[in-house]
Amino acid sequence: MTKIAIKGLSHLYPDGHCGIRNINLQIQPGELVVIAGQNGSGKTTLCKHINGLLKPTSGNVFIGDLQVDRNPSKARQLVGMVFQNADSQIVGETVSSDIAFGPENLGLKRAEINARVKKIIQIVGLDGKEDNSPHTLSGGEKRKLAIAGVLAMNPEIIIFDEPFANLDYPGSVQILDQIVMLHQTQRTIIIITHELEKIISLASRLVILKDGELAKEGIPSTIIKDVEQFGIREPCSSKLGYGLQSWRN
Amino acid sequence: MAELSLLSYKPGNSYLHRIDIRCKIGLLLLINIVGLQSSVWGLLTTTLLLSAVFLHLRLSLVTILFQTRLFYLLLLFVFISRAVYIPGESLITLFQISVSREGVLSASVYCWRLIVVLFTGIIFISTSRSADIKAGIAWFFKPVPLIPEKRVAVMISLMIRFLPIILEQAKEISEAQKARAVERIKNPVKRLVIFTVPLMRKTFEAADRYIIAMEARCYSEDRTDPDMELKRQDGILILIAVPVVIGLLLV
Repeated sequence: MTKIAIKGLSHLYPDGHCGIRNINLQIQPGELVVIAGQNGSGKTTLCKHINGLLKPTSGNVFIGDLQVDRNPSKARQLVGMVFQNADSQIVGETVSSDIAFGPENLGLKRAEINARVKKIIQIVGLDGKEDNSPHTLSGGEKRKLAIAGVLAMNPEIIIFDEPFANLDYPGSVQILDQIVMLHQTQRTIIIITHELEKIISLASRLVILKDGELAKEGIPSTIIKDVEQFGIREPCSSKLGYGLQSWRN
Repeated sequence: MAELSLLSYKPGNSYLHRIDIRCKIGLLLLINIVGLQSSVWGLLTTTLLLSAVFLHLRLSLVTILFQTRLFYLLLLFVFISRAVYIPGESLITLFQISVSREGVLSASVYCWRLIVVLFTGIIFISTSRSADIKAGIAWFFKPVPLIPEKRVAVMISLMIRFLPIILEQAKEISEAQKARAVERIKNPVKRLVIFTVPLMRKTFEAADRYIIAMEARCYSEDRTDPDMELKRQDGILILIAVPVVIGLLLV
């Protein structure tokens, strides 16, 4: 398993807007890290650097020994990203063809692709919907399909960008279950969210960004009382003095 | 998004779904040749065949006619142009512009041909995955020198794949503008501008999102293509289709 090391990472957008500024962060293998912050704080920009979708203005991201901007294609095999809008991530015309999309890009043999698709459909619980059009799926199922598409590439690290956005309560719990299941397979999980309530009890570390800078990081239970000064709502259970409670209970 | 099924792949296991994509592309070309070149009898036979296929695929003709309604505006324009342009026995004269009997007949047949081409395309898109189309096109272009067959195939398959998404965005914008009483604007040019600008912006933004999502999943031209295997049923289909097409062209 590989470690993520972010060293002095800054990103300026072409219009001069600063996405992130001098971020230094290390994420150990098998961690479940929550990256929180207000809208526009740089969460997604940071994660797109880990996935090699953006090139740094300065600084570097390393995944193990791999410098991401030197070999973004390899980085994308190691780091899967589940986007906020599942509809934009789904490119196949059927559930199974969408899951096969990633492995096909990796040039795997057809037999291997079919085996992976079959296995992953069962893992994410989309059995029986292999030939359905993705657009007929519910919001939670679409998010599951987006996760399946990433899982099919067998990445060591998975980034979830706002995994609970636009989901109802059952949909959110289903996605939480998927995240827990993936974390149990020793994968490193990074979750971008401003809704701490749903996920924070499962996290090993909380990283807070504000205006593109790393404002605070630490064990969730020790810094949870400070989050509201960064524009993030403190979970109810914590406010009421019950500590960090899981949504899965 | 369910309404998009007309201009997008419709999952299924019909005979047309199972045909090898190369045969299907060949068949598409042959039917279009018949549609554009044959006599009225050939056109009628092709239309009946296409109707049977629509029934076989359980595609609703009413839905199709509704969803392709803008196409008929184009047809109306084509019809009027030809009816007026072609000389012959005058049926009606308005403001010194004469509509001829021959012009009306010719325009009717011409529009009929275009409808056949449109319906053939709908059947093709409804029964073919974009990945299969890409593989099929690349196969046809492979022997042609100086043409990057994979790039051409990728561009065509992506266009087919994302056409429904553009239409969906057009529908969303149209509904949003109707909700804000756009009908009260009587100037058609102004309405076209306020519709087109957000549509273009949304289309480019959506294209950006898809590019990022596809890049994140390591998209490239050199990917594992679907298996293509010519089966007995494909051979039989070609053996039947070629003489039928020749016959229809000679009728």
